[in-house]
Amino acid sequence: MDAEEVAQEVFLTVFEKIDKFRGDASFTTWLHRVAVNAALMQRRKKKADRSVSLDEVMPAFDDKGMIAANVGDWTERAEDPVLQQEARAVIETAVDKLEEIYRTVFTLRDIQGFSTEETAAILDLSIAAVKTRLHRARLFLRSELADYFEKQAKA
Amino acid sequence: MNGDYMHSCQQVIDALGEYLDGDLSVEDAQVFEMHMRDCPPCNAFLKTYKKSGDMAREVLCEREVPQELQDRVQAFLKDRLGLNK
Repeated sequence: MDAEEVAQEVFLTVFEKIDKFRGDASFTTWLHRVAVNAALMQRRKKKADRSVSLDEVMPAFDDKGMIAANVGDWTERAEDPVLQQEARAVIETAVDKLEEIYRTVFTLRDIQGFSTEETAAILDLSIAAVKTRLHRARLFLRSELADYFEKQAKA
Repeated sequence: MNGDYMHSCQQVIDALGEYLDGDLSVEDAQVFEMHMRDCPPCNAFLKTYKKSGDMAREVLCEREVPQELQDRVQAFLKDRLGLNK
């Protein structure tokens, strides 16, 4: 899949930039450079997409475990049809950003409606693992939507 | 388990998913709800956590499930129906 994406990127770049090819290097050298750049870009993208760190998705707590920062309630703003349209894209992107181990649990449990026990059986996981991964996926999604709606409020 | 463990916001946030899925004991759910009543930040967090789930369900229900996952689900359902025996 990654290799296919890189190959597609290379074809596109060649198509778009063939007029920039000056002919002072051989075509294969130039093509090689384009391919390496595309692969590096892909790797960078993959790294950025990788994980859900709890620090990023949980509120800040003080040393007694109490929430130390303001938590905005954007649920009313989420009813705005204009914002809803953009929020759809935020959700799609957020789910794609999730690591597969979280995305599969989230898909089965929250989208497809399987129970925790059924999800555990389908994925051959413990019930505790399903609960933890599901919570983390939900926290990530909430955090991405919160970022979006809070930016909208400031705009 | 008793509700004493759920005094801090952090503990309450950790239990959000289990609360919404009905997995907390009656006693724990009561302590959770008491905390929610007295704690506006946790309350806002709960509301937005729940809203995110509702929105995601609406947006993603039409998305095609990857083939590998579909296969696993099929195998599981066949197994449940006793078709693999």
